[in-house]
Amino acid sequence: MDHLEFNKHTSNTYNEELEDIRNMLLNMGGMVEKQVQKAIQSLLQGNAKLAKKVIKKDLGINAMEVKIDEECTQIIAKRQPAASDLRLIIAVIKSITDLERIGDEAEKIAKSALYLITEEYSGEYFVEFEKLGNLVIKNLTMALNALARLDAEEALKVAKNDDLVDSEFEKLNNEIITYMSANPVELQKAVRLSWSSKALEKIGDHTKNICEYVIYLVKGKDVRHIDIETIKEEYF
Amino acid sequence: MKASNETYSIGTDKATLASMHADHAETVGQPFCQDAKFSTRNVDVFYADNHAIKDISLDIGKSEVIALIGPSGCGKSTYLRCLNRMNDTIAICKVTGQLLLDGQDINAKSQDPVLLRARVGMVFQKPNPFPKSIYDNVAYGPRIHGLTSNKAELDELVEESLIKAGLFKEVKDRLAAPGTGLSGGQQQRLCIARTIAVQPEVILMDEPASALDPIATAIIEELINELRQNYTIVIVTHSMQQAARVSQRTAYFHLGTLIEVGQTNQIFTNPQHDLTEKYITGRFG
Repeated sequence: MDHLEFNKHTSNTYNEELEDIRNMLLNMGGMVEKQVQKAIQSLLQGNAKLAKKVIKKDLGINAMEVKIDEECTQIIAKRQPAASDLRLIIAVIKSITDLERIGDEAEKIAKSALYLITEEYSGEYFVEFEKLGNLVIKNLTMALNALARLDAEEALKVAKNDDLVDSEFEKLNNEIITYMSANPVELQKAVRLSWSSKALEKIGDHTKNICEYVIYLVKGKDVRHIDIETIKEEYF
Repeated sequence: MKASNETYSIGTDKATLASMHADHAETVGQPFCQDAKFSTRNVDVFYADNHAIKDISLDIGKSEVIALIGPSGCGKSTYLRCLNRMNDTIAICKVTGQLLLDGQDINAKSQDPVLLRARVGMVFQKPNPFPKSIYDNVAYGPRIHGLTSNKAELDELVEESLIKAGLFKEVKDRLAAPGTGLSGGQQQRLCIARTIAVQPEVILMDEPASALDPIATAIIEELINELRQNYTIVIVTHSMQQAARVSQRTAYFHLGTLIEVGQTNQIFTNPQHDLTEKYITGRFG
């Protein structure tokens, strides 16, 4: 069933409740997306003020997760949702967990940024880090669009893109390790850059999870732990 | 037990099932099953000129609880009443199509409807105990069908039926008291005990808990789950949650047609037909 209409219930109040939850989810997605962008920016530009803002803002994202969870609990208690409504609630509850963790990863990058600024890191491998960051942000934006439009095809495409994120991360991390061996004095700083790269890779994984929830919501099939080609063949 | 001589062979292997599903593609899902107690094919019901149910083909499996759901007037109760020929009591009602119980045509001329109703018992929306004692309510069926040969056997059957219906502990000291003096939930369990007492193979339930409070409803639902071990149960309910809780398969009716049949787990999480989705999510205006 690809055509989902969450505003067509007999109860207008129920329509509004589901609409509110979707809006809150998309707002949270937007906030998290900005957090990732700003965290990467703060690291690349050596902007301590921006990094501190990112760290502070993470509390707001955590609060949003709790708030949406509470709203979902209320809907389950009051409405006993079924079928696509139930899948929406489940997808929202699971997506916000991943969004909150993406927020945590952004915070980690911002903390590393502060360290690298203090320690005056040379900026080695920033170009590669930026490339990985752009890829991760692009995927996250596409995943959030797929979530907003309930577009399973787009979600599948983004999930597939995660392979590229993984390979880019591997490449960058190997280069950083080589750099560490050659420049032991830079070790501590290079480790921070490696952690930040890992954070980007994890954001990619959480983004892929969100895509799987979009497919679950739209197609009604749980596609976790199934390879992309099989998902494509069996459910699309 | 006197039964019709007319028997039909029903294909139950997987290939035959697949071809049966293909022949009835207008119903989404799996209307047929391999181990059918009831096999109904192309059933139509008319109330005078009103075509109440249209070309319904559905199997009801042995020892399963199947829930029939759908908006008011969709034909689910009418279909239920076809299964023990309760529609015979309505003069303007005409039933066509094939209804087989264990392969035997229940509408055959040789089929005695009274005996059929002993095999296919019914519990109604509103508890309807007879204006008799609790004991006599349960003993009524066994007496008229001559199921026991002496008082001791009858006592045993009454007790056993009340135990199965989960009522014995509450009434064992007042079996001579009127059945109508019990609470609503107890009365409904008394009606279930009365149904069980004639040792049916199938129990039809037409919204059995809709007049009961949540505790009495929970007891009835628990009872349905226990009865499933020995009986085939067909339940009509307006409560989506109840259908989801008690049944293994669910059939969705809409305007007299059978729209979708599937495993209950699947129907309530991922129905395949748009109308089923709209109904169970409350999207009908």
